[in-house]
Order: sequence, then C-alpha cells, then structure tokens
Amino acid sequence: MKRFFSCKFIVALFSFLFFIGLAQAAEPIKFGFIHSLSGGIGQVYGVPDLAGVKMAVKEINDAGGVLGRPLEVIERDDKLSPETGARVAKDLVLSDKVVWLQGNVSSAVALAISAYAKEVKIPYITSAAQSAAITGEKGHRYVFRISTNTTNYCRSIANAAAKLWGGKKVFILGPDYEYGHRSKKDFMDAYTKAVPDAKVVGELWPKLGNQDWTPYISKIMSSDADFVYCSLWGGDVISFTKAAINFGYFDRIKHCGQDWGNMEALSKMDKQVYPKGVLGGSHYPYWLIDNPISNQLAGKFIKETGMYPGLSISGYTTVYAMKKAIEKAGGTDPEKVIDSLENLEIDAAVGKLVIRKCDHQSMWPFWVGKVIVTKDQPWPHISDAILLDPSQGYRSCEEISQVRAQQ
Amino acid sequence: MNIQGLIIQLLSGISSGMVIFLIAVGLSLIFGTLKVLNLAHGALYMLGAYLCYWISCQLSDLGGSFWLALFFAPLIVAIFGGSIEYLLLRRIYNREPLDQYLLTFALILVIGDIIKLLWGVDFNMVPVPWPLNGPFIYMGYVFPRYNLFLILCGPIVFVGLWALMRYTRLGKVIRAITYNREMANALGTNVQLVYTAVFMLGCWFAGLGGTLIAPLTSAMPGMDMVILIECFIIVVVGGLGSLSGAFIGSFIFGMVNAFGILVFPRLAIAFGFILMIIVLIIRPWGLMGKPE
Repeated sequence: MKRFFSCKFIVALFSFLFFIGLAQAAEPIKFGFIHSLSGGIGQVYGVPDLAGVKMAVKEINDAGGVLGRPLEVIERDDKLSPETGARVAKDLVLSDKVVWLQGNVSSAVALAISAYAKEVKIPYITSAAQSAAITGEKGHRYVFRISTNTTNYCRSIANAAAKLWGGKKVFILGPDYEYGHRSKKDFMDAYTKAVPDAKVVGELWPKLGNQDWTPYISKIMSSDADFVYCSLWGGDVISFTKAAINFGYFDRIKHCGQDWGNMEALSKMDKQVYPKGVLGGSHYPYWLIDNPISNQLAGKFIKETGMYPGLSISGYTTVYAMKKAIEKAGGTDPEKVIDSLENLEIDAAVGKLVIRKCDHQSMWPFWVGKVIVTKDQPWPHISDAILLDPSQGYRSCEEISQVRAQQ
Repeated sequence: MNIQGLIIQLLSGISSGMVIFLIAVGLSLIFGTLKVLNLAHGALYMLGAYLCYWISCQLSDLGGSFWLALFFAPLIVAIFGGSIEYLLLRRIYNREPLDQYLLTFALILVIGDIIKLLWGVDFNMVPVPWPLNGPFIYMGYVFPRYNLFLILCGPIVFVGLWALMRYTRLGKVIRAITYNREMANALGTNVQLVYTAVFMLGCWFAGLGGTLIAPLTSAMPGMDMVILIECFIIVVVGGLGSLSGAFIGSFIFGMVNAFGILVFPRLAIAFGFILMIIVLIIRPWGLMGKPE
C-alpha cells in the first residue's frame, strides 16, 4: 500500500511539475507600446508604427517566439500628453508587468516616460521621438533609441547641401519653437564646418500651423540667398508647398530641409503639386535600399497594412532587437537585457545597425536626396541619395559625456 | 531689397489682408447689428473650408468643381448658421454677454468635433481651380494668379456690402435696427427676422472666407482658432460693427504682417498683437468705430 501510494504520488507529482514547467515556458513575454494613436499625428506616426510592431510580433511568434515564449504587445495611447504617457507607462509596468516599453513620437512624452523608466529600472526604447536630448543630455542606462535623432538629421542635410551646392549665403525658415531654433543651430554648426565662410543672410520664423505663406514666400524669393534651409515639418511642409507652387518657387529657389523627403509628408502630395528638386531627408527610403530584409519587409508592409513604411519601421526593428537581446541574455531580467542591448548589432531593414553603448543611440542612417516623381512610385520621393556616415552624423561619445557633465 | 521685391511684398500684404477681410467682415456685421460677438465665427469658417473640400471631391469629375463649391458651401454654412440663430442664439439676446460668449464658445467645440467626425483629422488638399492656378508673370514679376483673384474679391465684397446697406430696403432696415432697435420695432419691422437674416449673412461670409482660403492652404483642424484670433485683431483695430473699419483694419493688418517680417523677422508673430495693443490704448473704439 505504501509503495503503491508513493509510486503514484511521485508520478503525479512529476506530471504536475512537468505541466507547471510547460505553462511557464509558454507564458508570454509582454511589452508595452505607448504612442499617439488618435488625431492627425497618430494617423501619421502611431498607427503605422503599431502595425509594424504587430507584424513583427506575428512573424516572431509564428517562428516559435523568443526562448520558446510568445511575444505579446499591449498598446496604449499617450494622446501626446506627458502626464498621460507617464500614467499609462506606470500601469503597464505595475499591472501588466511588461518587460520593456517602446514607442512615442513626441519628445516631451518620451522624456517623461524615460524618467519613469529610470525610476523603475525597466528598459524604454523610443522609436520616433527625435530630440537629441533623450539619449544625449538627458540619457541614462534605461533609455534607448532605435531611430535617428535631430543631430543626425541636421548634419546629414548640411553634408548634402555642402556637397551639392556649397553656397555661402543661407536663408533660414523654421517654425518658431525649440525644434526650429535647435535645427538652425545644428545645421549651421555642421554647415560652417564644411563651408567656413557661410552665413545666415535672412531668417523667418512663422508660427507652427501658419496658414498664409504669401508674405514669407515673397520675401524669400526676393532675397539674394544661395539656398534656403527649412525645418518646417508635417502639415506645414504640405501647405507651404501648395502656396509656393503658385509662385513658381521650386523652379527658382534651392530649398532643403530634413522633413522634405519623408514619406509621411510626400505621400500626401500628388505628382503635380510637390516640392520639385528640393533636397530632403528620409528615414527609410525603401525604393533606394537593396537588402534581403528590406526587400521583403517593404512589400509585405504595404500589402498587409495598406500603409507605406517610413519612420514607422522603427517599432518593427525594435521588436527584433529586443528578441535578439533577450536571447543573448538568456532571459528577461532587465539588467541582463540592457547589458545585451549595449553594442548589439542587428540586421535591420536599413542595413547593419549598432546600438552604441555610451548613449544607447542606434547608428540609424539618414538618406538625403532630391525630390522627383517617377512612374513606378505613386507619390513624389527622393532619389540619388547621399548618406552621411553615422559616426559623423551623431555626436561622438566624448561630446555626449561632455554635455551630460554640464547637466 | 529692390523695388521689385518691395512691390511683391506689398501685393502679398494686400492679398493677406483681403482674405482676412472677407472673414472679419462677417464677425463685424453680426456684432454691429445683433450686438453678439460670435466666437464660433472661426468654426463656421472652418466648416466652409471643409465643405469646399468635400464638394470639390464629390464633384471632381465635373469640371469647375471649385466654382460649384464656391456657390454651395457658403450657402450651406449660412443655412446652418440660421438654424443656430433660430434654435439657440435667439434665447439669449437679453442675457448678459458672458452667457453669449459661453454659448458661442461651446459651439466652437461642437462644430469642431462634428467636422472631425465627418472628415477625420487629416490635412485635406483642395486644388487651385483653373484658370487661377500657377503664377502670373509680367515683366519679371512673379505672383500667384489665385492671390490676385483674392485681391480683387476684397473690394468687390466691400462695395457689394456697402451698396446693400445703402441702397436696398434690407440694408436700410438693418441700419435702422442697428441705430435704434426699439424704435424700429415700434415702427413695425420684424426685428427677429432681420436678426436671423443678418446672422445668416455673417455666416455666409465666414463660409465664403473658408471656401476661398481652402485652395491656398488646406482644410485642417485648428484653422478655426488661428483665424478667430486674427479676426479679433481686425475688428478691434477697425472698430466693431463698422464695414469700412473691417476693410481698413484688414488692410493694415496685412501690411503690418508683410512688412513686419521684412524688418523684424523674429517678431513676426507679435506684430498683429502689438498693433492691436497700440490701438486699444490710443483709440479703444477702433479707427472707424464710435466711442460708446
């Protein structure tokens, strides 16, 4: 009787432990996705990013998951508000027990979530917030960026403008807030290194969302500048282009700017009303990139989501980066995952991507080219792109430690 | 800057001013006669812009869809305005101004959300209609044709409204009511009906402004508040309730903006407000208004 009892008991115990073990193995790895999902900005940035993330999650889970466990994304809308962003981050970490947080296009929200991530020691990877301060002045161990940043933009545009034009008289046009003024500074710092006696001969600072561009356009057209550096973005690019076309602006003025090559703005224009010949930048010009990952991703993204991939593939890339980091760390312990992410090299759609250790900024390149229309692309796009080596595009590790010391 | 540049900048200023005039005149008219400051004026202008976009899209196979939109969109806005007046505003004429502001402010939010519901939050482009697209080039001067068209619209509307006020029976009745409402009522005029008519006319102007500006920029969220603030500057500078005041105020505003950015580009945003502050201090009832 004793022997029988103990035999069955041991079998039962082992079966029980086996099934417990199995359940543990299949327990999903949850991560939080916080982005602006409503409103105009949400439609352009948040919604495609989430679509890319879901695509990555499905691909990974179909192939067996991460360390045998499926990934599960929990998405939340930050409504472009730092308070909301921090609050949903807290929910995700405390209630849903996510392993990492990612997302955001608003730098203000990203900074708020970054501060929270530092507090709770959970990794946060921003995929679209571009302010250099996030990984620079305000960077720390728990924040990463798998995307470009404002320093790289401005230096890439300056590099291309110096190579193609090299004019000494620059006209500045930008939206009147921190982003616009910072862009002017970063651009001129980089441009004057390449063209030493270049100077600003005129500047205009319209408010964000300005509607009547007529007096601005007429002033620019009567100035004697060699070219215009323009940090307008989003809707302003579209409305400025519309107004400028009727002045014959793009036939007469050399014009460049970081947001003038982006899919997000250009895909809203048609083949008649577009900024012809403008030097613009793009995060992911898939029509110019030829590697197996990109070729497969671009077509699949368009087909499955009905949207075009642009800055939105940062989210997709981040998921794959986290997969690699977790596999390398052998588990989801935050400190081990962060150690694995540092200096991690991933094969991304934009090429080989390194996540630098000193500031956790990925060396994501930024393509700058002239905007044209062709038969095979449904909207205006850049071509003949010039690429600035990311080691020059981003601030060096010394520069980063210097600015952090000044905080 | 050479002469050519200055002339183009002058034209830019005039065209900006005329666009604002078309919108501000409605606000001034409503205040002058109904003594109500219609805060929802900007929202109605935005509605006009979206209707222009929508009608142009629906009828894009027809040639001249913009011109059809120009006819219908302000009309729809006017009818919508008339129903607002009949159902809501009428009940609060005798209340204190704060109640009127609260109601019209609430309308801003309601109209804004209706527009978001119907058309989403994207930027909606309206193409510049033929034959006004492209630049007008004359002896080396380049200026958009559509802006020249807008410069012409301003005086046409001004003269038309002035003639309406002066020579038609409706105009005389409106002026009578503006001058002395009780007496006009006592003499048998249907004040209530005229109020509705004037409000509809003011809304028609808001819709017209929105329709005309849609090809220049696009129909986008937030355009209502931007324009409302600029309209306030105009009517303060020109004098609330005065037609010529709105015209002169708009003209000055356009000039100040166009030449302000030539002289002090960093203060560009502030110029309109500086102008308004100066007028409020020196001549608070506006250039063409009457001291109360």
